[in-house]
Amino acid sequence: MLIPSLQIYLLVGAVLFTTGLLCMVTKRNAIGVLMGVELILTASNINFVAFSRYGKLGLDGQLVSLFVIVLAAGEAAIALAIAMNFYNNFETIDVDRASNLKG
Amino acid sequence: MGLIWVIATLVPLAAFVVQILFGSVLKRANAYIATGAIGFSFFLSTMGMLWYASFKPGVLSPPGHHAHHEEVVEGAGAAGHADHSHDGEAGEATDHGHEDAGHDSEADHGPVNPVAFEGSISWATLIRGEDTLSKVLRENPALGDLIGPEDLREEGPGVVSVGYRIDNITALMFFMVTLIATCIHVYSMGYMDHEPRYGRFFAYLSLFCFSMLALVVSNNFFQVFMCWELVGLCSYFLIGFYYEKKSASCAANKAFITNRIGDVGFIVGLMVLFSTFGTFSFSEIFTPEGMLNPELAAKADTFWLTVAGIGIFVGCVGKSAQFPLHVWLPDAMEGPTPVSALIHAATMVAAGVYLIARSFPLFTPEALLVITYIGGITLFVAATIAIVATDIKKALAYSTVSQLGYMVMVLGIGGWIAGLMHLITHAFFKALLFLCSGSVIHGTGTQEMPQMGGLYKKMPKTALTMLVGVLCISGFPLTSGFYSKDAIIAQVLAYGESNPEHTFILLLPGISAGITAFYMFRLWFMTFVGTPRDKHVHDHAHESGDLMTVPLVILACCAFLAAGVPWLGLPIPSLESFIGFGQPAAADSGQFAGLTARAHELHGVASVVASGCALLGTVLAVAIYWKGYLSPSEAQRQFPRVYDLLINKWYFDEIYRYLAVRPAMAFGRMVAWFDKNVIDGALDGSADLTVRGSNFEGRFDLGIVDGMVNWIGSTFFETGVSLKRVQTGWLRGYVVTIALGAVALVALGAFLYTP
Repeated sequence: MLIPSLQIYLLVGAVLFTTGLLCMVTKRNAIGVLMGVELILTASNINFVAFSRYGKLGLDGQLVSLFVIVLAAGEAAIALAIAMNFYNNFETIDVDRASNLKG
Repeated sequence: MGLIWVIATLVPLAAFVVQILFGSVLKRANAYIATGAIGFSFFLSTMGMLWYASFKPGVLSPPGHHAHHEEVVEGAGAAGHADHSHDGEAGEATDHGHEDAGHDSEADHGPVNPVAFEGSISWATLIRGEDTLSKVLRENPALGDLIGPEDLREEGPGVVSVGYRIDNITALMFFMVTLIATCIHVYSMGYMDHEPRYGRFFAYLSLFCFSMLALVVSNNFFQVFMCWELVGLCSYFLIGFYYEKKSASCAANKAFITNRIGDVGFIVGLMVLFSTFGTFSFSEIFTPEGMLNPELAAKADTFWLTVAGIGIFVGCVGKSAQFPLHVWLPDAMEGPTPVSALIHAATMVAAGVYLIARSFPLFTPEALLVITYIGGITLFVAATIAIVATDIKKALAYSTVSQLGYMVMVLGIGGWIAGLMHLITHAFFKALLFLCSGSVIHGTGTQEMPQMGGLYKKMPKTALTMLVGVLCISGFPLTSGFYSKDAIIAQVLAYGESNPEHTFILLLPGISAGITAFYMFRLWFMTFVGTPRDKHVHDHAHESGDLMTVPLVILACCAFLAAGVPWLGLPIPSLESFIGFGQPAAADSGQFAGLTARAHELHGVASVVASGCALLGTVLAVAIYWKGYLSPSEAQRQFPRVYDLLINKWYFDEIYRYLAVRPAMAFGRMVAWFDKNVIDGALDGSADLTVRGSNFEGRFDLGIVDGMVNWIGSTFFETGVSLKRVQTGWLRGYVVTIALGAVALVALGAFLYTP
């Protein structure tokens, strides 16, 4: 039986983080990239909560993760709005096409 | 009623203004305006003469049987005046009045005030500064004992005014000037007919007439000085009228510069006068009977009075072309002949003599002696030069200088009446002579007498009128010149009796009277009689038109009768009595006491001497230039030294070239060198230095300041360019970079972390 411990939580967080990162790197779809971001944020939330539970952070970890959730909601709204605008202008949401600011 | 003269003075000025402003429209009509203006002035001055005579009837009383006796009494009385003035006490003033009253009741023409009208408007106020000594004395009254109060010169305002003062001399001069000027205006309309700048000529003449008339009516020294400069300016304009000719413009400059030298003396004299007396006004400086105002004289130092007198006389030396400043007048003959007649013979050059007469009481005996000697030297030197002159106008010019010398000299020995008489008569006959010579020049086209000869048949009117002039100037009996020259010789004899130490200078007028007759007849014979020496000139000679000959005839009559008609024995006043009415007491008191009376007694001797000398000169001229008994060229060979001296005009021009012109030029060159090398050098050096500094600064600015700024800019630019490549715009690449960067940071941290 797997005993819940800090390492387990961190492992889950690391898996989620890596998944999210790979998702961001590999997806050309803007929505997919957004999903990767959400995974990474979730990974960080798990880490905060885990450190809150097993470390000396107390309730601070939970509070930060709550903030992150709220921010993630805002971020998702803004990101979706950007995606909409991007689509309106380029008729695609392929992030590789978004290279107008290339140096 | 003095307004008559004021208006008569201002009319030519108005004419001048009109001619200058509308000259381009009027063109030749200028001549009518100018002539009309001066003619009107002449009319007014005639009216003025009559008015003056009615106002001062004494001036018209003929030289009667009692004149001689009366004048002796006057002389004694005047001598008394002189004593008073030397005392300089306040209480004496009343005594003057008593004596005057006594004289007036005694005789019809005692020492009365000849001034009929006077008026002035104040024009400016000069502040007379207090000298240092007076200031110290005023502030320290304790020192007052050392120097009397008369040595103190207080501070005070002096009023400079413009005004008129009409006495018999003014009225007479005014009449003479306007009459001659009118004749000359008419004459000029004929003479200048074919000249360019015809209109401007008349504008200048009008300005001159105004200036001369304003000088004559002036009631103070300052106005005299201003007009003095104005007539000098007109003279300059008119001498240089043919300014295309180099000689004419040079002559104008010479006249102007020479006159400036005289004017320096005049200004010095005026400054001394003003700082001593605090006024320029004639009526304040002189008493009505013609002495120096005793109140002012008490304040004045004899030395400074002499300086003032000589200063004013130096001005006269310049204007009246006296030795040693006479050199400009012969050169002034470059101007048109009517100008020579009006300005350089009749009026302007006589202004100096007029001023000497006007300020006569001012002159101390020392100053008068200077005047006598200068006049004596002038009259002789100029007369001798006139003997050999071949240019008809130059001969007349030297004659003018000589005659002016007569006037100046006789004024110096107290011959106030004689000097002014000669001034008036000379003005008429010399204007006549010049106009005649102008007529000859107009008719023949040459001024050189050796090219003339035998012109009598061709131009009889000119020849006859000129003969009248020649007779007058030579002093032939019954002519005006006889009376004035006779008066001069009589005065000289009278003075010589009491001052034998000056005999040498007193011989000169007599000798020169002979020389005068000689050179004037020489001139006339060479021009009008004998065989024609230049056929071309003779063939083209013609008599001038009526516009020119009528003024000649009028002037000939005037010249002949200028001294009045004393030879008729009629009870009509002569020129002598008219002038004598205003004789200042100073001319018949002090060292001159009784001289006038003695001169009267010597008239007989004088007329014999003068006529004898003149006759001798005439006979010599007849023998040489008419009958040809003696050859002039023979005389030249006999006396080469004398001839060289005379033909070179006593080497005055050469002396001045070495003494004045060359040093002045050398000094000028020195100053120019200094200017060019030192001052300009310093300026150029500083400019050069500035350019070099600017160049250096420019290089610093371009190289270092700009370089640094550009280096910073370009460095950042290049950095930006090289960093640009990082911005790929590939979003996933950024993510990879961030991830790898984070991993690298963690790895670094783990590597460096040592607990």
